[in-house]
Amino acid sequence: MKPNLWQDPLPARITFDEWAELFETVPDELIQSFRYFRRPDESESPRVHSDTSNHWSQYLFPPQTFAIYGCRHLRRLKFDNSLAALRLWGFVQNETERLFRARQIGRHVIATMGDLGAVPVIVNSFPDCIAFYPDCSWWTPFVMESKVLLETAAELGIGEATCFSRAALAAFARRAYFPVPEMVIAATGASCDDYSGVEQLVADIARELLWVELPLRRLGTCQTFTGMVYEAQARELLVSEFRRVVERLEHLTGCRVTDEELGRSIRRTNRLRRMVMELRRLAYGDGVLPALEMMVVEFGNLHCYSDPDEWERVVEHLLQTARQRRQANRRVVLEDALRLVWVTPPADPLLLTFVEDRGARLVGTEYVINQALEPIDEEKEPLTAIAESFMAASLIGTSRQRSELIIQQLYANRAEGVVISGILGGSHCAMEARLIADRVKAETGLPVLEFDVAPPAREIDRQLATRIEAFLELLRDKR
Amino acid sequence: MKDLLTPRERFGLLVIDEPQDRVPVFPLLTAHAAVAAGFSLRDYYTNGFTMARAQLAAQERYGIDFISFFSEVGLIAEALGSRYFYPEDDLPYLSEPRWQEPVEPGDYVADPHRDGRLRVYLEGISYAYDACSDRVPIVAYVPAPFTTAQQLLDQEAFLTGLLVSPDRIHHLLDFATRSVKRFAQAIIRAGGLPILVDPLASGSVISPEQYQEFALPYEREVIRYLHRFDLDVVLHICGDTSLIIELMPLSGADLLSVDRIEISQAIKAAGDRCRIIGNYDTTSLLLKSADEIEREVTAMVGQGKNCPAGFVAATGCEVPLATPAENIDAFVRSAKTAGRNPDFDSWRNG
Amino acid sequence: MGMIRTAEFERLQRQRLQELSEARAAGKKVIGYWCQYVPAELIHASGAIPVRLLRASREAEERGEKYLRSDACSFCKVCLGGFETESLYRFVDGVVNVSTCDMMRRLGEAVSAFAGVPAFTLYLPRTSEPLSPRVGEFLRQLRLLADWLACFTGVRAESTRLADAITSYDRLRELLRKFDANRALPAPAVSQSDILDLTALAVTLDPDQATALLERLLSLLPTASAGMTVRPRLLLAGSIFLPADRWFLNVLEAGADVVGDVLCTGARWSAETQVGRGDSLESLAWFYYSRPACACRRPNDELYQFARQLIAERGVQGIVVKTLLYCDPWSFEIRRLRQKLRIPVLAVDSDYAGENQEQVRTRIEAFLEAL
Repeated sequence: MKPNLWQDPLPARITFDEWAELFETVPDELIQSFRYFRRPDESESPRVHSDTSNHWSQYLFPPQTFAIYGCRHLRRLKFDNSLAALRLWGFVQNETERLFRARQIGRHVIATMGDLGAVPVIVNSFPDCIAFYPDCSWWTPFVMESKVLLETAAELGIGEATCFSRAALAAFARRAYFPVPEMVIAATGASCDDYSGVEQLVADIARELLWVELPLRRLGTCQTFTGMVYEAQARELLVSEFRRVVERLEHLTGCRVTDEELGRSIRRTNRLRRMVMELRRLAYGDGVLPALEMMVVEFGNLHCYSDPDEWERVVEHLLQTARQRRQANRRVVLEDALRLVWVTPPADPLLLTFVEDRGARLVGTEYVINQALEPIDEEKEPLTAIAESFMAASLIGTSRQRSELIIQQLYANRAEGVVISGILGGSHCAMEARLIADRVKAETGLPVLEFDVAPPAREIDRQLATRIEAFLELLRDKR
Repeated sequence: MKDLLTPRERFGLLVIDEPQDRVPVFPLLTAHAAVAAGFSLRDYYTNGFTMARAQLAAQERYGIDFISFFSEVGLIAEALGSRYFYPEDDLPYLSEPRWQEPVEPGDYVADPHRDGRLRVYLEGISYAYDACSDRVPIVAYVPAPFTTAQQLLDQEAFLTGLLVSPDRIHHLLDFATRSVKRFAQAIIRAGGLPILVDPLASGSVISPEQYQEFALPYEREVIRYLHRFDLDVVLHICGDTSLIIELMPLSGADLLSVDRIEISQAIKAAGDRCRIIGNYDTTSLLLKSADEIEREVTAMVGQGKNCPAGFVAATGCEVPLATPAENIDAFVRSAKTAGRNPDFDSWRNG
Repeated sequence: MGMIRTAEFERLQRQRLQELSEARAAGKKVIGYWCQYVPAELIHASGAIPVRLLRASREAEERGEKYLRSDACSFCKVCLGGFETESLYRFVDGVVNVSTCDMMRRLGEAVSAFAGVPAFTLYLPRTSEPLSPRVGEFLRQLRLLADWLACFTGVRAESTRLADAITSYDRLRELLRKFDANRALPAPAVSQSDILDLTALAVTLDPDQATALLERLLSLLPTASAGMTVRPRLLLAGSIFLPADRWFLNVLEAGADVVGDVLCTGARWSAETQVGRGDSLESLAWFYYSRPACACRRPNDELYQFARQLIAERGVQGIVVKTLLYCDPWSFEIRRLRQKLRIPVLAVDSDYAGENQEQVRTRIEAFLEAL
C-alpha cells in the first residue's frame, strides 16, 4: 500500500451509512491494491477462467457491498473507521467467494470442524491446501437476519433444541456457502455435543470424513506455553491423531509434508498469534479498537479466513493502526467506559455494538478459542508442538479451568463485570454457565450477567436489552 | 419440484462462476407486477411501498428469482427537470423535456431523496430489502446516461446533436452521468443492486458507431463506479443489440441483458466474458399459447445453458401489462425445468 | 404379568438400600455410576460396591434445575437433583461419570460442586474406531480410575479380583441375553419391561444375588413360543430409559410387543461378554471401548448395525425412539434412523415431568394403528 493514498480519520465507531460516505473517498488505486490469494512472488492473483479483468480477488469493499448480497445485519452494526478495519471486514465477508475461487484455481479445500484452531496449522502446511471452518456458519443466520439455514437444519432433523451450530450442517447441505470440501476433518471427543452431532450428520453427505479425537485435559505435570497444566499422555494421543491427519492429507494431495513445511506453518501461526495477542492488549487494555473488530480478529486465528498469507497482512495492518492510535493516545471507546469481560462469543454481533453504544467496553474475552491464542513451541517436533498448544483449549477441561482463564483477565484489566452469553441448547452452556458464574463471583466478587442470545432478529430482544442496560446501570452505581 | 436453493444463493453462485441448481429465472416483471397485484399504475410508480408490495407479490406468485424495481426510463431525467405526464392506468410518458436545444447543462446533480420520484425506488427497495433480501436479490433499473440524456433533450434535437454538436451532447451525457451515479449510490445504500438500463442506446435507435462514442463510455463510467463496490453489474439494452453485442462487454458489465438477438449470437460474441440474460420475446409471451411458450422457452434455455460464463432465463424486455398470468407461469415453469442442473448435488434426496 | 412383579422389584430395591446402609456402616464404600461404559467390574474388584444410579423423578429434575440451566438434558438434571431426593443417592460415597457426551462429561464437576460428592470423570474417547492410541488412553483412564477407587477403599484391583469380577458380570450378561433372546420368538414371553427391570436389578444388586435371581427366573421361562401373536413387533431406541419411564412402556406394551432394544439400560448393556478376551485391565479397556456403540460415539455406525441385525432377526416392524429433551446424541439421530433403517419410526421427546403423557399416548396409539 502506498502510504500517501490514505489518511485515517480520527478513531471512531461509525455507522453503516457513515462508512458509505467514507468509502466514497477511498481511491480506486487503494481498492485495487488489496487482493487475496496473491502469489508469493508477485502481487497479482492467478486468473480464473471467466474473469478477463482479473478483478476477482479484490476485497477492499464496504459493508454496503455485503449488505446488498444479503448480509442485512451489517446495516445495524457500528464499525471502526480505519482503513485497516475496512480491510478486515472486506476480507472476512469475502470468504465464501474466496473458498469457491480456491477450488476454481485448483486448491484443495479442506473443512476442519470442532477443534477450532489446531488442525488448520497442519492443513495449511500442505501446498495448495486451504482449511476452513464450516462451524463459523453459526454467525450466518445472524449476519443475514435469515432463517434459511435454520429452517434447512430443521428439515435435516435438527431443531431449536440445538445451538446455532446447526447452521453449519445446513450450510453443508445447501452447497452455496462453501464448496463441497474434498475432505472433512471432524474433531470430537472432549468437545461440545452440538458440533459433534453436526459432524456425524455431515459424515453422511461428505465426500470423505476423518474423525479426530480431542482428549480430555486433566491436571498433569506438563504445561503449555502460557501455563495450562496437562498430562503428557493426553497430548500424545492428540499427536497420534494429528499423525493420521497428516497421512490422510498426504494421500489426498500426493505430497509428503516435511517438518520444515510444518515448521513454516507453525511460525506463521505464531506470528499471527503474537500479533493478535498484542492487539488484545492494545484493544482490551488501551481501548484503541472496538469489540466487534476484535471478535472478528480473534476468530481469524482459527483458520486465517482461508488465506493465511493475506490474513497476516490484514492483521499487521490492524496492528499498525492500533499502535499508532496508542502512540497518539487516541481511543475508539470512551475512556471511562464500563469494563467488561465477555464469556462465550455472542452469536449475534449486534450485542457488542449494543454494549459499546451504552458506555461499556470489553477488557477481555473467553470466546472458547483459547487454543487459538496459545503460541506453538517452534523448538519441538511439529505435531507435538501443535498438540501441546491445543492442550490449552477452552473446552477440553473443566469449567473451573475455564473460569481461571476468565478470572486472570478480570484481574489483569481491572474488569467491573462479566457477561456470559449462552446459546439455548448449547451443551456446554447448559452445564457450565452456573459453575463459571459461581466461581467468578466467589473469587472476584464481581457482578455476572448471564443470558441466552435470542434467535436471529433485526434488533436485540427487548427483554434482553433491558437486562443488559440494568446490568450496566448496576456497574455504574458500584463505581 | 421444490427448488434446492434460494434465489439469493443461486445468484450468489452465478456471479462467482459456480454451477447452480438451475438457471435463475427472471421475466422482467416490472409494471406488470402492479397490474397482477391489482394496484393502479399511477400508485405503483409514485409510491415506493406500492411498488415494493407489487414486486413482492409478483415474486411470490410466479416464483421468480429477483425482486426488481422499475417504472420507466425517464426517472432520472424527471429528477433533472424534464416533465412527465402520469396517466392513472399507464406508465408516465415524457410531456416536456428539460431542454429543446443542446445547452450547457450546468453541474446540478439530482438528489435521490428529494428530486422527482427517485425516492419512490429508494423507499420501495428499503421495504423489499427488509422483507426478503436474505432470500431474494433486490435489483433496481437505473437509466443509463445515454438514455437519460435523451429524455432531457428534445428527441430530434438530441439525435441531430449526435451528428452536428457532439461536444454539447457529451456535456449533457457528463451531466446525466453524475446524477446516474448519485442515484446508483443511493440504491446501493438502500440495499439494491443497480442494473444499468440503456434501451435508447440499442441498435433500433442509434448506430454501433454512435453507441461506441456516446453510450458506451458513460455506461463504462457508471459501471466502473459500481465496481468500486465489487457489484456484479447488469447492463440491459432492449431492442436490437445484434450490431453492438461485441461492444457491450467493453462497458465492463458482468451480465448482459439482451432482447432482439439470437441467443446463440449473444453467447458467441460475449458469453465467454459475461453472463447472458435473455431473451424471450415479450410479444410472444403476450400472444402465444402456454404450450408454445413452454416449447420456445425450453429451446431458449437449452441454448442459454451453453453460455460458458452463465445464463439467466429472462424476457428480452418488460413483460407487457396485459400478459396472461398463465403465460408467465408457462415461462417460469419451463425455464426452471429446462434450466435444471442434474449435476448439482441434491441434499434433499439424501 | 412380567417376569418380576412390581412389588417384588421394589422390595428388592428396598432390600438393597438396607444392604448398602449396612455395608457402609461396616466401612464399605458405595460408588455410583450412570453409564454403560463404566466397568462395574473394576469398582467391584477395588472393593467398593458399584451401583448404577437409575432413579429419576419429576422432583429430582426440578431440583437439578436449581443448578443447571433449563436446557441441560433431563437426565443430567435428575442425576444432580437425585442427590437431594433419592434414597439410593444418599448412600453413594463417590460417583463415576463418563465423557460420553458433553453434558455427562461435565456432570461430575457439577456433582462435586453442588452435591459435594467426589466424582471421577472417566474419559472415554468419543471416536469409536478402536485405534491403539485411543484404547491405550482409555486403559490409562481405567488405571486412573483404579487409583481413585483405591483412595476410597484402600484396595487395588489386582488381577485375581478383577478376573473374578469379570466372571461375575459376564455371567449376569449371559443370563440377561437369554431373556433377551426369548423376544425373538413369535410370541415372546419376555417383555421390554422385563428386560429393563432385570437389567436394573443386575446393575444394582450384588452380582451373586442378581445371578441367583436371574437363574431362578430363567428356569421359569418357557423355552418355546406359546403360539403366535398378531401384535406389532417393535424396537425401542433412544436416550437412557429408566424405571421412571415405566408409564411409557405400559402404553407401548398395551398394543405391541417390544421385541428388541438398543438401550444402554437394556439389551446393549448385556449384548456381549468378555469370555475369551482376557481378564486384565487391558482386556477390560478393549471390551468397554468396543461396547455396542451409543449414539454419542463417532462414527456410530455400529449402533445401526446392532439395530439392523435385531430388525432382521426379530421381524421388527417399527421403531419407537424416546429421546430426552436436550439429549443431543439421540435427537440428532432421528432423521438418520428413518433414512438408514427404512422402517416406520415414531420419535417422542419427553422429560421426567410427564406433562405430555396423554399426548404421547395418543401418538403411540396412532403409530401402532398405522403399522
